[in-house]
Amino acid sequence: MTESNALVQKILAGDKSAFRTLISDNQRLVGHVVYRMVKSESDREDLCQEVFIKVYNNLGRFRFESKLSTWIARIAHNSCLNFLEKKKLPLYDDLGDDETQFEPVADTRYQPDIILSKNNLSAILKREIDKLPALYKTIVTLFHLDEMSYAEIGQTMKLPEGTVKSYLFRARKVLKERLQTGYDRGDL
Amino acid sequence: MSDHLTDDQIQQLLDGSLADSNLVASHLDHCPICQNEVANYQALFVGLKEEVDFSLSVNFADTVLDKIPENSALSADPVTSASPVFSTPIIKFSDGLIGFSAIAIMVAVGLYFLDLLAIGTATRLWGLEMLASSAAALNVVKQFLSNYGINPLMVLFIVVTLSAIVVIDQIVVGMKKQRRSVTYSI
Repeated sequence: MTESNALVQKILAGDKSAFRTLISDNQRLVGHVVYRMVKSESDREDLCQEVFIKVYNNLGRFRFESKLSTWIARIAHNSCLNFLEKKKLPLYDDLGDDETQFEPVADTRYQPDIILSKNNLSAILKREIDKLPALYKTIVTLFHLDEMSYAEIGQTMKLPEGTVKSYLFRARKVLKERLQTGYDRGDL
Repeated sequence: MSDHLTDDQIQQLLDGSLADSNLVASHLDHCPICQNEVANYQALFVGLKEEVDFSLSVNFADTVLDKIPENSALSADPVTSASPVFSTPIIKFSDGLIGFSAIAIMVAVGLYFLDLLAIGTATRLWGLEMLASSAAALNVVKQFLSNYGINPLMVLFIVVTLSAIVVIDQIVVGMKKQRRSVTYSI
């Protein structure tokens, strides 16, 4: 019996402390999904709570067909979609495939190789990631921060593996180009 | 390798998913432009590993546990424990009304293109008074429009086309909503 299987069995048997362990193991992942998809700071924590309550109430339906964390991330993703739909905020599936949907970079005065070694790259990068559509920044975060595979991200977001890979590559290319061309030396 | 590396190749190289990494490595050995691009992507990848500026409250787990009732049902039965799959009825009242109107219009069109009076007489014989009345009423409308020089066929065509558009639109919107309800059910 795997660790997550044992944990699920304990929770199903009514062990609340086991559920506390599940929360602590997965709250970072859930936080990432919610943070990337929902801009309103005041709603984020409530949404994270809602996700774990749904996880608890639906745990009996978990069939171990995916990793427990992937299943939880999927619930988080679906909860965010429901939230955005309820608030009439645009869902990412309203976006097209064209790269022009990204905001254009500021200018191209500087050569690509001058930018990326500067100290405040981190702050600029965070700002640029925030400008990406929710779909792209969620994929980037799940891949780089949560170390999910293309397949796991696909299961979480109900996207084909190839699409996940394509979006990830496109998002990183856009980020790299923005960092190269969008800021002058003075900013950095 | 004569050309420079593509963005995809560099990303695959850094992800460790590049199939022919030897060829790429030998190109990188003597190409400063590509070396620089790889360095740029490496810096980006390092930046992407940085944690997001969001953390949950210290007592987050307690708050969640407090919100779960003591006798909360934790069933392993996928049917009884599942939340409803559809959040809205499959056919809404408004959809039904539109559908009924569309059918009524189609019947009217069918009657119009036939000999209405004859149909009226025939249906009266069958005891279908309502249908007979409808046919007679349509005949009056037809006569009325003709008196004012309006082509009844054109009016019918416009009404039928608009109705069809509304019905198709409602069906498509309804299907989309249902798909979303199913997709985001938990």
